[in-house]
Amino acid sequence: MRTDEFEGLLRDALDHQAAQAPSGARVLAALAPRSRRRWWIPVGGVVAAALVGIAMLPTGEQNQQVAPGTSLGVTSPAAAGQLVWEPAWVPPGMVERERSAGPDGPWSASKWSSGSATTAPQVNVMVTELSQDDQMGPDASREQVVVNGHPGQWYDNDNGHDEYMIAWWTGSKRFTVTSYAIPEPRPVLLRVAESLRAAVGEPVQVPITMPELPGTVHGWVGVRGDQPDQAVMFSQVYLDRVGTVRAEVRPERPSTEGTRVPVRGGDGWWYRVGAADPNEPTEVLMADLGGRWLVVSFAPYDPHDATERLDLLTTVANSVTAGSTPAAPWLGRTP
Amino acid sequence: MPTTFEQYVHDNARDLLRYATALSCDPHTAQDIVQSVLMRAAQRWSGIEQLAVPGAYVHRMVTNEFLSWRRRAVRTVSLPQGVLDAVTPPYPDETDAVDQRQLVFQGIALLPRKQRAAIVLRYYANRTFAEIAGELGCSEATARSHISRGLAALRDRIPALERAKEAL
Repeated sequence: MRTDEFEGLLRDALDHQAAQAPSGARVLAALAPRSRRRWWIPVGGVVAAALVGIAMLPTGEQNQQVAPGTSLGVTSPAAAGQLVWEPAWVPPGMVERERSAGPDGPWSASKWSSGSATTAPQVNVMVTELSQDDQMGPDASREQVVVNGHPGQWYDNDNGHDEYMIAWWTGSKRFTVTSYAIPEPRPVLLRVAESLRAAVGEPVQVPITMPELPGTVHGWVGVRGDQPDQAVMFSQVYLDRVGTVRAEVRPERPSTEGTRVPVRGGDGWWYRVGAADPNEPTEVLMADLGGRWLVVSFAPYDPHDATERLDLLTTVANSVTAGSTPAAPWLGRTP
Repeated sequence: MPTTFEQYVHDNARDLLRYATALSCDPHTAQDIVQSVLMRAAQRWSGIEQLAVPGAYVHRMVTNEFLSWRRRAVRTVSLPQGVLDAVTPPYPDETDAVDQRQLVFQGIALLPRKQRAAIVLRYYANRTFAEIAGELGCSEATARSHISRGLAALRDRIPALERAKEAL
């Protein structure tokens, strides 16, 4: 079945399902007395809740800016130079292991964890510069929280990864702090959120160029590692409906070798693995960059996608250019 | 001119119920979702009506209500494989189109909720990827990923149907 035929079938199925919607009589009946009462309902605690709720609705761009070293609870004049946002507190044992950013700077993020394994307890901090079409404040259907006086909300994300998040808004920015595998995450996330500070620093910039790939819709870059002299820089792109391609430049030779294949005028090593996790790569191609190692990998969206991508990985590996890995003195540090 | 809450409900309740039904794959759950959302919207209407597009805000409330973790236990629609087969109509469908539609619908009901919401926003509500990202509170790339994974899972069901037909 062709893609357009399948999408037509999908639309038809959804339209058919939507047509099964109830008449709404029960909804209207339930609302009628409530809407008549709503003028006197706001008494006591309900008054406060309603006023807080209304006050937290977005009222427009504020263009709030902050100076280095100040917390989000303080409004300050515009800062000179570049700013990065850093937590002044994370749970004991956690160190910074990754900084990443969108391709044109709409967001930046840092990852703090107590181990390099993907299952280790982790806290991610992200700052997003909002556009006009973005949600500019909390919505009324999630539990509301306040972070240093700014409106925010609490997320229980049901994705099987024990993931929780606090998001809050100030001016044209949205801040999020997300936890993975942290028990009783709420006080932890709130403390990390309230400790966030603006500091003078350079947003992460990664000198890797990737070739234009068919279907590329998005990309991001970053630097990761356990310590400054072991920094790994990477660039990743999302291919529409296919998967993700990631190019990493590592300081040390990867351990797995695989099948010898021609790449970049010499030998490379390629291997395939079963897709145990949708986010894990199923194919990896490695090449010597003269003292450093290029690792290009592919992770399909569809875990059943068994298409071989050696040609794609080879094209990427042959076209990638990589400058010097940026200094990352923050790797492995505590706040 | 600001719309009164009563007028908004009069004009939009049907569309919200249709959207919630497509999302939840269950008319009764959809009714609960929309009723709950509109009750909260009523209390906040004086703020919501000041927004540029109040309807978009309420639409997002419906999406969030569907995704809300705490209500999953009583409103879950993530059914195990086979359960939906047991509640399909007792008479056979008469056309391939209906068979396929039913198969796709059953597949939608089995998707993880964020994937399902992304699929419904894209193919029922005709939202752009950026709009879907905004509604789900994620990046555009993540929204595309949800849709791609959802589509891949749904397409898996089509060959099964075709094999079954060939066996007849």
